[in-house]
Amino acid sequence: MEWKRGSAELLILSLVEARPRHGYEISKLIEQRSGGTIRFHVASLYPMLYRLERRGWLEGRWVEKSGQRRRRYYRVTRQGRRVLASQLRGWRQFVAGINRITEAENA
Amino acid sequence: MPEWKPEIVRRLGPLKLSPAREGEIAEEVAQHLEDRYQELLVTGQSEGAAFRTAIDELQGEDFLAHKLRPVERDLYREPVALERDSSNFLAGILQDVRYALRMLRKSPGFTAVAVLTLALGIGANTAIFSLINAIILRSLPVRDPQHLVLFQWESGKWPPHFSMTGWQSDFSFSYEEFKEFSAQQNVMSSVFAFVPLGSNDQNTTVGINGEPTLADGAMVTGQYFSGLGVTPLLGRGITDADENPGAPRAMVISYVYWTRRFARDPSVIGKSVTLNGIPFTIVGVTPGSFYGISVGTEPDLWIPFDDKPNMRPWSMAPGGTDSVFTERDWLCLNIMGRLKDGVTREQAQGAFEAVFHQFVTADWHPPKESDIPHFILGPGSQGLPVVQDYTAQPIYMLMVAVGLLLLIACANVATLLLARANSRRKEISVRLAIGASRSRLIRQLLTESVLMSALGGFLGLVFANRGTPALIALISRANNGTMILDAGTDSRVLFFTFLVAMLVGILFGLAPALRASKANLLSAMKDNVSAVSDPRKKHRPGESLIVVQVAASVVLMIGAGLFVRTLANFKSHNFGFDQRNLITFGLNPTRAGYHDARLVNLYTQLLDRIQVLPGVHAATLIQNAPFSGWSRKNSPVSVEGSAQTPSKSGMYWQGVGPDFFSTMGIPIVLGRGIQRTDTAASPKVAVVDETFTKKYFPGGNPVGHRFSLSSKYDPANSYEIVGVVRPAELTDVNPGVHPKGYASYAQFPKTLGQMFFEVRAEGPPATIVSELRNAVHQADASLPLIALKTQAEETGEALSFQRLLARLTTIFGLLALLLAMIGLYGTLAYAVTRKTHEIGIRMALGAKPTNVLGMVLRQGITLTVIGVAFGVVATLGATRLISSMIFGVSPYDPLTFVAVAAILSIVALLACYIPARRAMKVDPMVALRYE
Repeated sequence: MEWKRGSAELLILSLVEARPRHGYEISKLIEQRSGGTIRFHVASLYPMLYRLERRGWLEGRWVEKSGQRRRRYYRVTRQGRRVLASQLRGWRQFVAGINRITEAENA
Repeated sequence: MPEWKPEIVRRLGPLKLSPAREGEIAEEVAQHLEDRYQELLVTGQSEGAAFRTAIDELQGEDFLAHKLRPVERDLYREPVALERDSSNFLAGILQDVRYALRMLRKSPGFTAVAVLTLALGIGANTAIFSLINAIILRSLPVRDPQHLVLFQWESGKWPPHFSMTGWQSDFSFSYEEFKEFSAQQNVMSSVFAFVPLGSNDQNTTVGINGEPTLADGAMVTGQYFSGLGVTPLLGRGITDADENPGAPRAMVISYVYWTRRFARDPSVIGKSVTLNGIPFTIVGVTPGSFYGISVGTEPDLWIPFDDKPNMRPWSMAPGGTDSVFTERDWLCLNIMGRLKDGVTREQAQGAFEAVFHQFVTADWHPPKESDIPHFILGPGSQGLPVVQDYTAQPIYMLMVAVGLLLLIACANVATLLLARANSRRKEISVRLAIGASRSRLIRQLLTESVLMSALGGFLGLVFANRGTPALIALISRANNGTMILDAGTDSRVLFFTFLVAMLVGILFGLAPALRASKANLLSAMKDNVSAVSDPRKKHRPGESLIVVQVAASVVLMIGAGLFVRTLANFKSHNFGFDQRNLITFGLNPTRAGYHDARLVNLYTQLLDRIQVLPGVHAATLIQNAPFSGWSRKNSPVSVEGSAQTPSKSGMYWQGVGPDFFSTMGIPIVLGRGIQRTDTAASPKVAVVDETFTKKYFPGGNPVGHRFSLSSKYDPANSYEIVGVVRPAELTDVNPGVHPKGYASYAQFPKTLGQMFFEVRAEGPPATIVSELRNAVHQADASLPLIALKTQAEETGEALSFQRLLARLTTIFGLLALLLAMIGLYGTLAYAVTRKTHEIGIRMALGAKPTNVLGMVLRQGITLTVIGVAFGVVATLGATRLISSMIFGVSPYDPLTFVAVAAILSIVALLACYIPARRAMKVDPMVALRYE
């Protein structure tokens, strides 16, 4: 459960690192890039976005573009970038560790 | 399109979020569901199926609230608007304060400007209030001051003379009266008297280790210190035993004097010094907080009451061979007392009234019963009012000035708040629409403004703590450097500052809060407000505030202008005598035992010695140094053979030396001046001025006539008029038109005391100072020179008060102008920003940039002109209140009014110019897209 929640934060932070995105865009990207294996419902996604915002890792802003209704865009903060980098390192170490164990067994 | 929000809001209900937060979440989630719904429709699902699939994203009725609860718990939560549960009130206030702090932190620039503006206004008010507190409100620093009483009497027209203070409502009594009052022991636990040893703060000569120094001394009776409840820091106070004839002469010194002269040496107790040549022993030192019984003055030392030729109350003898102890109508003492426990002032008043009435009837000989003065036992907690009399009016005037400054500061900040409220109208409108009550919203907005003014008040207190000592130093210099005040911050000052800050916060916050809370949701949700402003639209509150600021600035600036002109008029005024190269110093040889003929001889010999010194052009004597504020004023004047009723207003009367008028440059128009031959052995003569002549001998020649200084012409004590001189103002820089008379000092040996030498140097006065000192030293080394200074310095000091007023009012006027212009600039700049869309339309339709410039300038100038008009009307009503403080200029002086209006208009034009130029440069294409 911790692994899954931590990875959800990692996913969101990495998706908004490149550019600000709104909630629906984030959920669609996660679904598309995971090939449908990871899906976030509204009731899970937004609480998570608000939590990251409260921690200061994301910053949300209402943006109104002409001809459209306003949407809330999220971008990663400096602190968020540091957390993302640290989580990515941890994730890569974890994956490398798993790979070393399973390759040894199957070697 | 499906309605998503009701579904979402229903699921958020259990969280009891603030309407704003709930609305925000609902909007965001609704947008997500709508996107999902549209995506599903594109894939071919029916509307109903797509709706159900989208709603399933919410995962049931409780899931969303369950997931959000831990996240939303720590965010700002506003109590639900419609709730009226009073137990939430305190929690609500605390939340309002936290929210207000956040809002202030979000716009640091705005907060800084507002807080600083308020700090200036509140700080100035606190500084002046500190003065009022110290001078008028604070009690004496003694035990239970509320039980102290002050003896005084009041009369309408009679008696016409005697009192040393010369006031109608008087505080002076004779020693005999004091003794009779002291006998009333059934109502008083103590009665005590005090009196200065002279009329200035250098009224005694104290010999310390053989060196003569000057000090400010007072005489007190035995119960002074015990009655006041003052515990000496060292040693003891004066007691009844010290008044016994033959008792060792005891002296108590003040903490300040102990510091200044003895470097706080604890072995000062028991030290021998001399006072006017008489040996004394120092027996005590008063605590640092004790300044005597009159705020603003502080004696250096206190000695027991006595009457010796060189040591008596006011350094003046009653006349003839009478003693102060026995002369029943020589009113020289001030008396206070402490009420017995349980006795009220009214009860004690009755006991003393009878005593006083009897005394006056028997000894003052009132012409009729209705002339008898009325006795008053007044409250004594603030001691004897001395400085209050001449500082009250200027201080209250300054209070009005800083009040106006605060009004301008409030109006300025209110303008800023109005602009800011406008930019928050969407937020406020949503909250109102969702259910927040208007009163709740107003409370929150007021919390922000009160918090801002509390910060301003705190900073203002810091400003005042720095500013008040500087102000006291200025006032003290204006009072010949003798005012000693402790205007520190006590609980009363703190409370005043707190109260002002709270009232100010509500005052400037209320209008913007009321206005902001009326926001209409529909118009607020549109970004572009009215495309073109309707000229018939009623006048915005921001503009009214500008008019108020400009009007208040006009009042302050005109006041400043009048005081500046007053100062200039005084500086250039011809006081009737030649002040160039004139140096003055005083001597009081009575303190060294000189009296009568011996005193006259000393003065005569010294004068002769000084007149032949190198560098001296001429020298003479005068009883009171010009502009020292003192002169004898005897009334009435009775002219021999005149049917005129004796004038009760009398004349100003001075003893002077030979060649006085030639030395001082006062022209003699008839007869002669005072000469060496006018001695005690020759008939009494007087020289009068033209004002006296106009009053008592209109159209005639007074030379050869006689007059006396009494209510009925007394030939035995009359004077022959031997000359008439031009009027000269020798007493006060603010001259009134009073008759003046001069007599020869040598003709009054018995009452002669301190005199001042007026020496005209050939060149700069500083060149003869050391020779003057030597001349005095050679005559008698024990005589210190009193107040040695050039006449120009004396005049300059006399003008210190006018200089102070001119300086302070100018500072306030300039501050007011600065604040008002910042307000004007801010209002116009904001108006230009709001109207950018409108300006774009106008220019797109053909308006030239110069038209736009004109539009903005017109708005600014119109506001300024209206403000100036109101300001001028207000000033016309107000300036007559300061007419007694200005000189040589009318309170309605057209030049000052026109100059201020012109300066304000020019500065306003500059303040309008920058926003006007910005408006001119608006690109119509950008402006039309501007939202």
